[in-house]
Amino acid sequence: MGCPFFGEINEPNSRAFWDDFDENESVNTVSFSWEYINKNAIENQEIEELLLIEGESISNVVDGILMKPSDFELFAVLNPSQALKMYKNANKLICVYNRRDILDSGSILNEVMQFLNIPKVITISIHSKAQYKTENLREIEESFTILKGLNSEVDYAKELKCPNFIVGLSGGVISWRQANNMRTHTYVVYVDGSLDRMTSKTLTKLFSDIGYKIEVLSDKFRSSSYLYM
Amino acid sequence: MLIFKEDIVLSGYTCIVPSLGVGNVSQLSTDLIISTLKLKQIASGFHEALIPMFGPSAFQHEPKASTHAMNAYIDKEKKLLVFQIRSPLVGKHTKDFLTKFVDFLKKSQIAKVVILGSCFSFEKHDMESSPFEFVSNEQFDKIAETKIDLVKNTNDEPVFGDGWGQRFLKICTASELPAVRFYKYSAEGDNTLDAAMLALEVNKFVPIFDSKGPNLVRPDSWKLLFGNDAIKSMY
Repeated sequence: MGCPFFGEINEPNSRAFWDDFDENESVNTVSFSWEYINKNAIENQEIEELLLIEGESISNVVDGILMKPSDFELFAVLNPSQALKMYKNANKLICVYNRRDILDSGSILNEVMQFLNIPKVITISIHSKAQYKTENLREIEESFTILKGLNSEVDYAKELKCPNFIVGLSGGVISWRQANNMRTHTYVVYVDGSLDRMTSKTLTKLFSDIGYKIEVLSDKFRSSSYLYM
Repeated sequence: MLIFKEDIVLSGYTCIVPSLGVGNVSQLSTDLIISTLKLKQIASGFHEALIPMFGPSAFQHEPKASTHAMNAYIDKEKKLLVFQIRSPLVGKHTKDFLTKFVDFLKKSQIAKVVILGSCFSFEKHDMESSPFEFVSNEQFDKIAETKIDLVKNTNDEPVFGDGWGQRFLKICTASELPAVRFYKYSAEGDNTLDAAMLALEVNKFVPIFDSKGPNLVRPDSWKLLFGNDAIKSMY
């Protein structure tokens, strides 16, 4: 926060306000809509499980390590800009959400609610390690990634404890199901920077242990280092 | 908008709502009220204006409960309904959220609404006077049990840094719902003390606690309020 002009009053901001919005100004509000590529894929079908994967640029990674085109059929995308993609494999759905603007999470949750009334829902969300709060600093120092869970099905995902919380679409899915007395298996992967070959090992092991076949199809990890060309 | 855990009649209840302001003073203050009175969670709120979130219990008295973007807590004996809103409101959906919220309160026949807030301390020019001010509507003035001994503002004057408190009071007034808004001039930083002061000040005029000077209980969610300690390998 600087004052580039002499005498300029630059009012300090507050952490309480995230969204500078003036109701009197006309703005183009984004409205979300489904585009079905193959609606028949889920109509009259018993869906038993939904896996939601959320993170920044997560679809590249998921495409690279999980999605074999012949196994998973893309049946719907949420527009604009295909922020969210829904795939189907037998009686399982996979929802891949490239997190962009967190302010849209509530609207996207509204769109996804129609898929949440199914017996088993698993959420995996990727967050920055800087967001993880703990009194045990060794946890942060000693590992590249930290995996935490709620109602976890794998013993190495220790319970996520207060004051940590999950924000975004995954948080909304768990919250809505819990309010409607439905259980959700939740995993949070805290990573340093973006997912790369090292940090994604936790994720690939988790996919495998919760019953999703892993096949590294291509190397789609973004390089976050400028050290080497 | 709200999903209740049980059926409950809210007629005649006093409702406390934090509006998001400078330093999140009102939310912290609400945390103290819930934690000190050991209020019971009864509902979770969902709306496009709320950024969804989920977490383990925020309060030590309810270890099995969970934390959502919006929760309602009650004390049936005191007829107190307290909302905690943990998410900032998304601008383009705020109007719809506030209107639906007031409609719910009106339909539930809530007796009065107490809005907690805060505003920028640099707007306070008279340093000798109380850091607290209030605004109330006519409907509240008619039923007020105690005269509020603070500077009374009109709801037309802008209060910078008080988020949506002013708009919420206007919607309450339009719906003829008795409402009062208390706010404290605050600066961004460690606002836990501001929160305690606001809760105790409001308690003087709208009875919340059993005594004037209760022992406020710091909730579990206030741990590591400013992040982790610095790791040793940094040095």
